[in-house]
Parts: sequence; structure tokens; C-alpha cells
Amino acid sequence: MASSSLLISLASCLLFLALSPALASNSEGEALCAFKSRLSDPNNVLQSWDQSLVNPCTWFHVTCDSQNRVIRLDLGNSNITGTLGPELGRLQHLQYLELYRNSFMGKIPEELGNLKNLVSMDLYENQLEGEIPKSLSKLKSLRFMRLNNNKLTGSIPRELVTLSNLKVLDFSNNDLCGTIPVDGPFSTFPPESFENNKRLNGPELLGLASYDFGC
Amino acid sequence: MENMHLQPKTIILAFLISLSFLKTTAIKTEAHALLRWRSIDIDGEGCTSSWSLVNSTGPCDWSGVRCNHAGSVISITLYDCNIYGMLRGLDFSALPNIEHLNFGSNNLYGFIPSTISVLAKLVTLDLSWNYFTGPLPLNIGNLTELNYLDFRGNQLNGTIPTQLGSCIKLSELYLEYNQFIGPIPPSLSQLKDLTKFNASVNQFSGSFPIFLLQNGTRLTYLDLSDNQFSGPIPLDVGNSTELEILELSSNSFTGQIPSSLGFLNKLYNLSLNNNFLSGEIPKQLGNMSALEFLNLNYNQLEGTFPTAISMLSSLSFIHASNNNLSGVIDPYLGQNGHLKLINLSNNSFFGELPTHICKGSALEVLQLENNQFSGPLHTCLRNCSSLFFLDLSNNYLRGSLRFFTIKPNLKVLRLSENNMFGNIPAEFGNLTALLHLALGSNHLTSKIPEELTRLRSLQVLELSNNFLSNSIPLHLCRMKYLEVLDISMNQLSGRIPSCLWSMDALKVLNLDSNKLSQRMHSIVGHMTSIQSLHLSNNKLTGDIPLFLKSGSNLTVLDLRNNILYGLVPSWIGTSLPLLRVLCLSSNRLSGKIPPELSELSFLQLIDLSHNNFTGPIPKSFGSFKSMSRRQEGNVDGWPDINFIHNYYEKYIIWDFVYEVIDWKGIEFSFTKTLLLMNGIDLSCNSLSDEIPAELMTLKGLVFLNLSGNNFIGNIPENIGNLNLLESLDLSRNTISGSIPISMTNLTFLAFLNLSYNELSGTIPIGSQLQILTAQSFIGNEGLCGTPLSKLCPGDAMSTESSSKNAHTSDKNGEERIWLFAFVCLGFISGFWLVLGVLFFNKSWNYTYFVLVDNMLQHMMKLFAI
Repeated sequence: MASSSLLISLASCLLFLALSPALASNSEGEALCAFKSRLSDPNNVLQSWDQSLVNPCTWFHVTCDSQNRVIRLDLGNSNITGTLGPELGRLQHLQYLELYRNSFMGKIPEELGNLKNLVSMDLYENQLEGEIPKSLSKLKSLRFMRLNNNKLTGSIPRELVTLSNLKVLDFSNNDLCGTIPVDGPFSTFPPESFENNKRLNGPELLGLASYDFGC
Repeated sequence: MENMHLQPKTIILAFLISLSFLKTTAIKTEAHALLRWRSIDIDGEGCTSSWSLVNSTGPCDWSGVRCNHAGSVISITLYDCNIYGMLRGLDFSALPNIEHLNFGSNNLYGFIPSTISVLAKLVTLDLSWNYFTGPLPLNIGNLTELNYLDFRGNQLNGTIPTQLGSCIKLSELYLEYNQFIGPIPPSLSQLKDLTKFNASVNQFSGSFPIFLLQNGTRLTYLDLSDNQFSGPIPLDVGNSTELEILELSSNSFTGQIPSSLGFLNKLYNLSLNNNFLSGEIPKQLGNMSALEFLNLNYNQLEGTFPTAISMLSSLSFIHASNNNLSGVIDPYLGQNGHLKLINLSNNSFFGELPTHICKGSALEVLQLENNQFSGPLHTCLRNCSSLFFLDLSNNYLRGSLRFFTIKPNLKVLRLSENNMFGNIPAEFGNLTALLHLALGSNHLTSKIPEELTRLRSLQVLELSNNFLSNSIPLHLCRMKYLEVLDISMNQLSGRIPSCLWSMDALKVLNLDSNKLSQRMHSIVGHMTSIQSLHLSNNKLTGDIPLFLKSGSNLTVLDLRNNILYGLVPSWIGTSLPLLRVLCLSSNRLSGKIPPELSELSFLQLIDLSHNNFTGPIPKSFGSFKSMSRRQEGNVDGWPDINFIHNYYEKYIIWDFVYEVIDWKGIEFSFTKTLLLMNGIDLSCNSLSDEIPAELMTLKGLVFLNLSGNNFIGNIPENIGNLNLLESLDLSRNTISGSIPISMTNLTFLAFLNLSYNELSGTIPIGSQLQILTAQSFIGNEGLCGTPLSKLCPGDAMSTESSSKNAHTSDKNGEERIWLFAFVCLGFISGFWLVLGVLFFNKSWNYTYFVLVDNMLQHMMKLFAI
């Protein structure tokens, strides 16, 4: 059943793609279809995504701007299982990526660093693994970055200190290591943003210690 | 001597007697085995009801049973004979001579018993189209005489046992329509006599089982479609030159189509559709001299459609739709005179249409829609006398329809979304077989010709988005099979012919965006069958007419943007019981909203915005039955159209059934997602009073827009119940009080506008609210907290700094001691030495490092002072 519905959805996604050759949202619809194909969706939250519609703007949980460009993806708390793929990096106009409280597994794709307009990246309370990609430091518009309650490992990339718009950050309840940056926006984040990372060793000592100390 | 002779004779005789006795017992055993099976396992006897030992000596004359000369059962054929039951109790060991066992098309269930493996002489085993479950027995490999094995159409699962490879005489193996998983076991490469193998419609995975096609394979038929095979199609596939049918559709095959397929000169059916194949179509496919049927639909193929394939002499069916193919179609396509079907739709082909496409007049179906073909269409369609399905919509074809030569058999003609101009020629009235005519989104002018009304079989007439003018011809009403009439977005003026309302078959009537002007309440008539009615964006005036009351089949009623005034009649709630979409927005309707509307138990969408309604929202709105739960997307109840041709499926209703919705602040035209939609838009009226708490029981609501009214009171406390809400607009009212905490439950909320009210207090922090911009909250004097810049009283410092402060002061005393210790240490030993040691101490925890950091800061300050 699951597989046949997957095939059906793939087929209809392909149909959708074919029906919208000249539209701006074509590649975004394609990306969303590719994303959907990775997911198991027992609550049928993505039911509206399998249609031969001209663009993804009337799909649920997708928000477009007036130029039919996808600016939001709201799939928090949806009981979705699956992985994040590089195709998400093709949602060039995305501002809000709300995928919190699901069962996303695997790594955070480094292609998310291509989401130049991203304001909020909420991936908290999933089962994401691997390191926080350095590429996320390219997200210059980012204000919210919540990756807490996952299984992320490795050190906090120093490059993130350049995200000057970052207002809220939460890396707590992971398995990060090394030390916590103190520069840039990191000077404002409370210790709670980093707690429960057993191998995370506290703020770096003003450049005196290697940041991946203890990793 | 005689005695001497007698003796051996007696012995032989005795031997024979005893043999025949043994044989009769054997026969009796066989009969008893079958009867016992029937009594234990079979609930419905079907054709075995005649099996009995009362009037017969043995099973050989029983229906479906055949014996050898010795009277032993060699074949049981109970095909399609209505038996219900299991095989579990059949004692196969009592039937040692069975060669053919056929239980196909019955109602047998349960496992396939492993005891079946004792049938050492079994040549044919057919258990197809039953309800067998569980895995295949592992010892199936003992059936080494097996030639024909058919398990198709059951619910078998698990993997295919490696042991199946021991059935080395197998020539036909059918496993389709089961739930088998895993890879095809490589041991099947031992099946050198295998000629036909079908594993389709299962959940097989892994890479292409190329071993089936290696080392002198005799396979003529291989069907792996509808599985989860992945990876490339190997080049070696070209070695299996006996192949006649190769079906690999609906898998996840990637990579290129192997050019070696060109060696398969007996192959007549190649189906690679619905995969992820990429790259170009190899021109070597043009060597497949036997090819009749080619299906490449739904892949990611690019490049051109190779000329060599166009030239194939036997090719009759070409499917290559939904790829990224481009280029000019070879003018020789169709030269072979056999082409029956061409579907190249949904690609990026350009240039003129191929000119020989109808040579030999065989062509029946031509689908080139959604490409970039240009030029005129008349030359290519000469000789297309068998053509009955023609879809050229959404291209850049240009010209006058005058040049369209009439194809008497044409049932479907779609030329919409091109650059056709001029008028609709009167000759179109000669296309008398037409069921579907779509000329929408062109530049057609002048009036709708009266002659069109001669198309007496027509079911769909779509002329929308042109420049058609004048009035709607009266005679349209003569098309008594017409189900869809879409003449929206033209410049039609005058009155709506009243006979339209009572057309027997009409389900969809779309007159949107014309210049129709009429006093609505003057309309009389009886609306019989109409399910979707759009009269929106015209100049209709007057009250909502009473004749609509007869619309007992109405599902979609859209009167948006006219000049309707007066009250909304309460009978809308009672006389239109099937209504799912009600749009009366942008008129001059006034008075109170009738509470009876809530009796519309299927209503999913109500848009009364931009009118002059006054008074409160009826409390009864909380009882909209359909909005109280999530829509499951059921198509039942929505207008559908039964087309006779299956090529047609994708056009069903959604080209014609739609509604424009103000969705998250922007207007979008919803089609298929309407199925899943629940929403209320009452914005821009003069509604007053409090927002009824009853609305919060409408748990299926996806959007709610109450903006631009005079609502007072609080936002209902339990607004968090509406957890499917994606868009909520309460702006520009006089709503007061605080924002309910429960709003943080709305995890799908993508658009929130509470601006310009009298809300106060702290904006709750939660999953979705926190990331919204100030735009959602501005114009509320009393509101504070993020994302507004105004801080809340008593919250002068942000949470993070206050907690950091608490942390620091706790440790202050202890810290100072450490500070001095470190100052000394620092000056004496140098930081590096100390830290070097500390770095090896893995037990250092976070708090400790905070300490160190703070101490260093203190130290800096100290030095600064």
C-alpha cells in the first residue's frame, strides 16, 4: 500500500511537473515532490501535494508569495518520518522551514545553505544526525535556528558567528562537542540553548582553545 | 513341463492380483485423500460437489480429475469452480502421480502447504487468483519436474526462496499481483528453460535481475513492472535476443536507456514508463525492427525523439509524454503508415507539427498538448480520417480555425491555449461525432456560431478566455447531452437564455467574467441538473433569485462580484442541501446572515466577504457539519463527468470546478485541493458582537477570515482547537483582551493577522507565533513582547540576559577566589601550560567553563580599571 501510494504520488508529481513547464514555481514544485517522495506520511498531511496543479500554491502547508514563489513550508508536528534531501536547497525563496516535532532522520543537507532568504529554520524535536553543516553560515537572513532535541554530533561550526541577524538559537539536547562560540550573535544566547550536550565543553576561551576541543 | 509352466504363471498371476490389489488400494487412498480434504478444508464445494464414492469406483470419473492408464490421479483441474477453503488438509503424499494441479480462480486461502513438495512428478502448478497468504514454501525446489508455475493474483508475501532455482525445467513463472519483497534470487539464473517470467505488481526491490538475461537465455517475456527495482538497466539486456516483451514500467530505474536494446530485433513491446530514466533516447532503438509498442512516458528523458525510431516500420504506439524531450519532431514520423497512437504531450518539443503523421490513415490518437509547437495546424492533419482524439492544447499554434479540415470521426478536439484567431467557423457544426470541444484561451472573436448547436452528442463545450461577443445563442440548449458549458472570460452580453437552467444533462455552467446584465429576480426557470454554477464577475443585479431554490443538485454556487442586493434568503440553507461552496462576495447584500445556512451539512467553503452584512455571526455556524472535521478528499458528491475514453481521465471536472479563495492574504484559484478545504470568509462587512465561541468547534477549518468588521470582545480562548488552521485573519476589528495561549497549538499557521484591534498583554511565545513578523500584531496599543519592539512591563530584560545574570550572581563569591588564583597562575605559569593540562581533563563540564570565561572577563575589566 505504502509503496503503491508512493508510486502514485511520484507519478502525479511528475504529472504536475510536466503540466507546469514554463512556470516560475516549476522547480519548486519539483523540489517539493522530490522531498515528499522521501517521506512517510501516516496522517496524510501531504495529501494535497499529489495533484496535477499548475503550481504548489494551493497545496496545504505550502505558502507562496504573490509571484507564486514558495516562501513557507509548515509541517511541524505532523508525524512525518523520512529524510531531508538536497532538493530543499532549491526552494530559493523559502523564508520559513518549519519541520519541527516529526521523525526526520539522517543528516541536515548542506544544500540548506542555499536558502538565502531563510528567516527561520525549525528542525527541533526530530532525529537528525551528523554535523551541523558549515554551509548554514550562508543563511544571512536567518533569525531563528532551532535544532534542539535531535542527535546532532560534531562541533558547532565557527562560521555561524557571522549570522548577524540570528535572534533565537537552540542547540540543546543533542550530542554536540567542542566549545561554544562567543562571538557575534552567540554572545546573546543563554546557556539553555546549549544544555544537555554531554561533550559540549562551554564557551571557548577567547581563542585560546581549539573549538573542537574534546570532540 | 506343464506343471513347470503352470507354476511361474500362477506366480505371475498372484503377483498381478496382488499388484492390482495394491493398485486399487492406492486408488482408494487417492480418492480418500481428496474426499478427506474436501471434508476438512473446503467450506464451499463448488464443482467438487459431485465427488463421491457412492456411485463410482474411484476418482477418475470425478469432475476435474484425470487418471493415467493405471487409474492413478495425474491431473486435478478445478479452475474457476467456486470452491472456498484451504489446501492445508490435502494429503499430497497420497497423490504421488500428480502432474498437473490447477486450482486457479477460486477462493482458496491460507498458506501454500510445504507438503506440496512431495509431488515429485508435478509439471504444472496453478494457484493463481486465489487468496493464498504467507511466503512460498522453501522446499518448492524439490519440484524438479515443474514446467509451469503460476501464483499470480494472491496475497503471498516474503521473499522468493533461493530454492526455486532448483526447478530447472521451469519454462513459465508467474508471480504478479502479490506482495513479494526483496530481490529476485540470483539462483533463478539456473532456470535455463525459462521463457516467460512475470513478477509485476509486487514490492520486489534491488537492482535489475540481469542474471535472468545472461548465458543463452531463452526468455521471451519479462515483466518487472510496478515494483521497487532501482539502479540502472544494464547494458547486457541487449544479449537476450529472444525477448519479445520487456516491461519495466513503474519502478525506480535510473540512468540511461541502454543502447544495446537495439539488438533485440524480436522485441515488439518495450515499456519503460514511470521510472527515473534520464539522458537521451538512444537512436539504436531504431534497430528494433519488430517494435510495435513503445512506452517511455513519465521519465526524465531529454534530447530529441530519434528519427530512426520514427522510421520503424511496425511501430504503432508511441508514448513519450511527460519527459524533458525537446527539438523538432522528425517529419518522417508516421511515414510507416501504421501509427495508431502518438502521445508526446508534456515535453518541450517545438517547431511545426510533423506532416506525415496520418499517412496510411491509421492514426487514432494524437496527443501533443503542453509543448511549444508553433505554426499552423492544417497541413499535418490531412488524411487523419481515423483520428478520434486530438489534443494540441497549450502550444503556440497559430492560425485561423477556417483551415481545420473536418475529421468525421473526431470525438475529442482540444486546441485550447494556443494562438488561434478569427471566428469559430460554422463548419465546426459538421463535427457531429464530437463529444468534447475545447477552444479556450485563444484569440477567437465574433459570436458563438449557431451551427455549433448541431453538435448533438457534445458533452463538453469549453470556449473560455477568448474575445467572443454578442449574446449566448439560444440554441445551445439543444445540445441535450451537454454536461459542461464553459464560456467564461469572454465579452458575452445580454441576458442568460432561460432554457439553460433546465438543460437535462448540464452539470457545470460557467458564465464567469462576461458582460451579462440582467435583473436576477426576473429570471424564472427550473434548475434541474446543474451542480456547479458560476455567474461571478458580471453585471447581474437585483435580489438573489428564487429560481435558484430549485437547484437541489447545486454543489458550487458562485455569484461573486455582481450587483446583487437585498437579503440572503434563508432557503439557501434548506433548499440547496448538497452545497459545498457558497460564494456571494463583493455584492451589495445586506441584513443579517441567516442562521439557517448552517443546515448546509456538506458546506466546506462560505465566502460572504465584501458586502454590507450586519449583526452577529449566527451561533449556529458552529454546527456546520462538514467543517467540524478534516476533509478526507473524497470525490463523491463533486461534479464528475463520465467520458467514454480513458485517455480522458485527467480532464475530469478539475478543469471546470474551481473557486477563487483569499488564501493567506493572496487570491488563488483552487481546483483539486478544494476537496480538502474548509474555510469561512466573512471579511469586510459590518458584522458586530463577539466572535461566537461556537466557531471553535469547527475543527476542520483551514482558514478563517473575519477581518474588517466591528467584532468586539475576546478572541475565543480555545482557538487552539482549530489545529488545521493555516490562515487566520481577525484584523481591523475592535477585538480586545489578550491573545489566548492556546494559539501556540496552531502548528500549521502560516498566516496570522491580528493587526488593528485593541488587543493587549504579552504575545504568547510558542512554536509558530514566535517566528511571525510584527506585521501580524501592529496597531494594537496594548500588545507587547516579540516580535513587537515594545517590551512588556516587568520584562525589561530579555529572558536570556536575566537568566545569565542569575547564573553569574550565584557563583559570584566563589568566582572571585578563583579569579585571583588564576591571575597568579596566569602570571606565573602562563595560560598555555595550565590550559594544556586542563584540556586533558575530560570531566570539565559546562559550568566550569562558564566560570573560566567569566573570570577572564572580570580580569580584563580589572586591568582596564
